[in-house]
Amino acid sequence: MSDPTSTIPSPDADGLELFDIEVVSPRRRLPPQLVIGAVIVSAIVAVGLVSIFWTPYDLEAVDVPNQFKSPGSDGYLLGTDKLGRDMTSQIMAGARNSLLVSMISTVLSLIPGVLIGMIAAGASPFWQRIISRLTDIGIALPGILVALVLATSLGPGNPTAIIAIMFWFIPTVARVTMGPSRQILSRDFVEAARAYGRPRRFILFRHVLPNIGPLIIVQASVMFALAILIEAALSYLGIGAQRPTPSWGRLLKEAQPLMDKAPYLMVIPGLSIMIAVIGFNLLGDGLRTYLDPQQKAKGAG
Amino acid sequence: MLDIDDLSISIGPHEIVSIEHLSIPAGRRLGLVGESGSGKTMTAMSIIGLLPREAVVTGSITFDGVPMVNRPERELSKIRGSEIGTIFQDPLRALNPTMRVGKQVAEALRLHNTVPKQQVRSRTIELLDQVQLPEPEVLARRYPHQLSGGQRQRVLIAMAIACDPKLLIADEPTTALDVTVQKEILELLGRLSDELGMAVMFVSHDLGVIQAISDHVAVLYGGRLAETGPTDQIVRSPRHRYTEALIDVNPGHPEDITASLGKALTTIKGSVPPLGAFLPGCRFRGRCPHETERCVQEPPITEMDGGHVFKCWNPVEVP
Amino acid sequence: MIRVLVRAVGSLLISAFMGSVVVFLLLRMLKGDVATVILGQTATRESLDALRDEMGLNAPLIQQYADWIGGVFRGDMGTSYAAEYDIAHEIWTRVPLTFTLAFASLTVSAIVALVVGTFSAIHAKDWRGTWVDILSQIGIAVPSFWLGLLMVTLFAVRLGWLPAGGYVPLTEDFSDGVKSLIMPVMALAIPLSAVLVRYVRSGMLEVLDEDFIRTAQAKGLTLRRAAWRHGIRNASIPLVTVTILQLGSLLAGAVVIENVFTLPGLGRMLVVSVGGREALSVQSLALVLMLMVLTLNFLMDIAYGLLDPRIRQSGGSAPIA
Repeated sequence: MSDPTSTIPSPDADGLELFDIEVVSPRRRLPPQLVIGAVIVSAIVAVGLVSIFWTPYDLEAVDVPNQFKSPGSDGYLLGTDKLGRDMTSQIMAGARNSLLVSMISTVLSLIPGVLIGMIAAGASPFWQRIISRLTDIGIALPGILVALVLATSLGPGNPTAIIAIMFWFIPTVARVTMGPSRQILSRDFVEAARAYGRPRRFILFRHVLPNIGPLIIVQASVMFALAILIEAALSYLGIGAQRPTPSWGRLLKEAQPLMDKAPYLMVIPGLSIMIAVIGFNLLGDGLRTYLDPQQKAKGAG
Repeated sequence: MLDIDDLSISIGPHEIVSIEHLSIPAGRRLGLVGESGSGKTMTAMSIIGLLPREAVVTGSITFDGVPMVNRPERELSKIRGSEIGTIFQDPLRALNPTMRVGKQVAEALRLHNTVPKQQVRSRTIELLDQVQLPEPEVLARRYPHQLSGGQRQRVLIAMAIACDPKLLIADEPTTALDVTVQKEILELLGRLSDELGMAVMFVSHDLGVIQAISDHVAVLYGGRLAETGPTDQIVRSPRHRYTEALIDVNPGHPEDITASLGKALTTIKGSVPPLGAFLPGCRFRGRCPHETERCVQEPPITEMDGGHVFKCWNPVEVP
Repeated sequence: MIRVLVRAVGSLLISAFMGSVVVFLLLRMLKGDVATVILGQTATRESLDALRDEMGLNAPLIQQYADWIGGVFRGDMGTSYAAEYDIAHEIWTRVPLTFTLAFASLTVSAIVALVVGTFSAIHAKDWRGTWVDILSQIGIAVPSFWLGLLMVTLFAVRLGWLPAGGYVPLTEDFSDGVKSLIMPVMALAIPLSAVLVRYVRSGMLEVLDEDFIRTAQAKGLTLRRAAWRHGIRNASIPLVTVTILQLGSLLAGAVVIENVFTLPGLGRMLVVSVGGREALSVQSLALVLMLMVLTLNFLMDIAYGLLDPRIRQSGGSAPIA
């Protein structure tokens, strides 16, 4: 039974909704960013893992006669630095360090961050304001700043970097989680659950969490990328990983005075950082596209 | 003044609109009637070239002797707003929420250098007054969200007529408005058309509204013309079965509602098939209560009866 | 409008206060003792006690905090332990540089993002849009300090066009000053604009879908002009929102960049102080940097209110002043 004077709702297809025409939309397929991102990330993880057991040369093997070899010469794929240490090995190990720091800080930040965000979303406006305020401040104190302050009292090193990053990540995650959680909590099916007598914790974990799951996964990927950048910056400043722990950022610092003589020493670690970050970002973008193909999220459940 | 001949609009493999002939003489008012999916908006937008990028248009649209189809954007933008004015369905969304309404109307004047710079402001106020907005000087400084639905539509009308266009295209301008406001807007449009000698193409799914404003009607179904002719003739004695069904379904003008109370609401069974799902034969098949063998097999040919043109194998009998 | 202003100022003050408490506590994570931080783990008992007496570290924490904040208001942040300079004075002279760096980068990024973002939205469906996509992916991933190093290698060392470091104040010599700032600003602005571009693009894409763009075209504007005249304001709103979220990173980046280019700003002073374990300097520096972030945040909030008139009159259809 149809009423010819009613408007048939048009699907969100390619902007044709203006003209009330239904066009069949294409099937969902794996977005290219997702594939590329996954490949890059896997490659880096593989390199990092391998470096635990094997690198072409010993990491700390000083071999001054072989200093400043350019990439591709004499069996040194990426060249050597001013003390003759092999760059390939250092880069591989650097990957391991970046991944380690990023992973720990991301995972350890996601858990409390999401919890706080979800709980705040369901809390009274009074508490929401307080938590909003706290997250605002947390966001205004960027990881690098906190790391510098902490390094003063705790000393430099990976643990300091991780704590500092977490200090910044947790409020960011909480803030990002709060909005969508609030939206979900105001939906009808949650009202129904509440009317049914479901306790708040149940609602949060069974209803809110699965719905913001995709968002969290995407967020994690982005955080990984950010953590890599922050760790690199901290190591560059000298308050990240110290020798002998390998780090791409520190390689950049050591390369700075030599930029005229051996520019490759500076280009290679930087490129590594960039590729790693691109990989995680693409992964995140790809996941976002894949998990939520309708960019214009409508209110319909 | 406006002539559409052999117009065909396609998106991908589907031909969405196919119209053999449609025309609007200067100063006259044509109503384009059809459900959603009938292609009426597409047809109207094809005149000013505001179709989606993927749309392919063939055929001829002549406006004042000037061919319009596939014209370069730069030339079209000179004609849009100055010779052809357009108003759309949802006045709240059709206006820029962050710009004062007076400024938006003035923009139309400035774009086409209709009046010298110093007079833009006063002309804007005049226009707002012409569309019967109260306290135009104050209202001009308001933002769209501060106005009522009817006021917003009047602002849009002011914008559309600012440069004294020869043709006004109105795409469902009253659909988003309250019934009482609808009447006022329709009266305003009629009056403006008379005063300015402006032709109107009025697109709507509501036959009652069409009836109130147009002197000629074109009924569209599935992108094809079902029937065209003078309004009162079409309404009094429709020939195409779809038109007949439309009239049956329409509860009539608000004043007549008491007459239709107690009568069961009729509907047209089925729904408009999606693009590409049209079967051979008449487009209305499957929903027409008077379907014949022939309707299923071949598309009907055009028949003319004076100014009344229609395409139906089994039309309504003329007494 | 006044309401927006007042609310923003109040917000700024509260955040500043709470942030200062956080900074204060962070420095005392090592069993709450600043003296150990300054003198190091190997210091003798006596020297520690002496320093504690001198700096009033035996007083309760609240007291120490109050002293510090009170001092800040009076313009007294103490003196550095090793180099014996007045902290407040040092900070004061360096603020303009760091602020200029941050503000200039912000402005450049915003402009670039608006232009490129709009361009890529209008041409979203063809090859031009895809190129912007790729470039912005790269731009986001580039570490700003690495970019700075690359630029120095190319423009300073190889080509000799720009200075490799150091700062000439704009007030002394404008063109030299600008030259010393170009690379630092670009190093910061490029990654930031890459982030912002995506939001401008998506904001503009949404706007281009809006009915009022269609109205503008029906009025006689080409799509490009319609996008600029009507879209910019609306697309700027997500731009401002995202920029606010990036402010912390921007200042952090500025700290690092100052070290890359040896610019005598707050960032350089901070790193040097951390190296020298100057807890008092670090404390006040962190506070000032945080205040800078909050101030920029405040300015953005005002911009936000200016951009969207609906925010300006929260609560109904009051006639506009």
